[in-house]
Amino acid sequence: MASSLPRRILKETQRLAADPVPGISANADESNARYFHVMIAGPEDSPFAGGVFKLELFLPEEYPMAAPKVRFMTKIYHPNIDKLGRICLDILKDKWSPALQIRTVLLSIQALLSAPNPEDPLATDVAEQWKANEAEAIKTAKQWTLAYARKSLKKALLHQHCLVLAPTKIIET
Amino acid sequence: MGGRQSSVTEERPRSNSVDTQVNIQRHVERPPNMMTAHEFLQTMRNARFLSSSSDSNASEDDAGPSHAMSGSGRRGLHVRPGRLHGHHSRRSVPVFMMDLKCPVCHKTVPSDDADIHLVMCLTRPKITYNDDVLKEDKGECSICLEDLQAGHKIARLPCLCIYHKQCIDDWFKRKNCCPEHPGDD
Repeated sequence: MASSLPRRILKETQRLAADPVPGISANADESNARYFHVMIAGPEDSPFAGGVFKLELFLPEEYPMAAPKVRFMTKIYHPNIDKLGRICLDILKDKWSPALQIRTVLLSIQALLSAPNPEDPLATDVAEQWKANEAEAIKTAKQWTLAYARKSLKKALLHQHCLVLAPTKIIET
Repeated sequence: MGGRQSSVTEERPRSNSVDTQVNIQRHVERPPNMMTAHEFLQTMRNARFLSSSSDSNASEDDAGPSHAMSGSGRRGLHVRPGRLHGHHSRRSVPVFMMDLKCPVCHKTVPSDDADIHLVMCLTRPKITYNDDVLKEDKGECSICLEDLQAGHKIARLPCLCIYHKQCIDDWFKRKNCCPEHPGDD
């Protein structure tokens, strides 16, 4: 049986609901308060614009002394995110600090979508493509967004997820 | 050599696991998944050995006496200054660029930089703090998100950050840096 939920987790959950981040929704699972269903809208300035990406976030027993585990569930063409949805982001590994929160982690992931970093790749094939022919890579990323991240968008709207979307054209589908 | 390379990782004792093999290593208690500095250096050498067949250093120092490590990971190190130079030429060999986890700061470092990184890590001054009991309320502790209230036992760090003493003690067990000012490493 899981030990009692630390107050910090309760507080974070409440604050996320009361003061959501634009373009991001994070809802605790009904049966597991350490497991969050996350949606991130692709930033407007990125090839992921117009898509909504589903992620899962889990707070391990050691949290906040250890980083949350986060994974993309929606397929995405990004040099720092691999086929399994694992994310190459320093704050999720050795740069974790207990002063960071679910909110700041998700903001960092959103920022990673705006600024792919092929120099520190996780998906090496994507990174190679990104370095060799950036225009082509961006084109592929846009195609993948259309192909895979639109479905999540429809689902999000259907299920009335409290997704506070970034302004402009996401609703046009 | 391939055999030894894999044995380094397999040797790591896993606490709490049901022991199917007899563990003959007499290690001092340490967290699981944490290499001693000795193992770290050895893994490093082996990695380098694989990436460059001309590295004669790889087979030296195998039976170092440095397994007895206390939790701080600061004792029992044999880093020879002569080993610190001349590895950068191998940057051009992309094969077997292994990332290794530093036993001191837990940062993941490329094997090429591991020697120098470890020395930097071990010589970095340790952050200490002053204990205090708060005389007035001081906002929120950014570790537990609870209020820092008058009467609470707190820690004052050199960067002037304050946290509950218990909170920062818990964090320092993992990493010796201010949560809000981790600095560059």
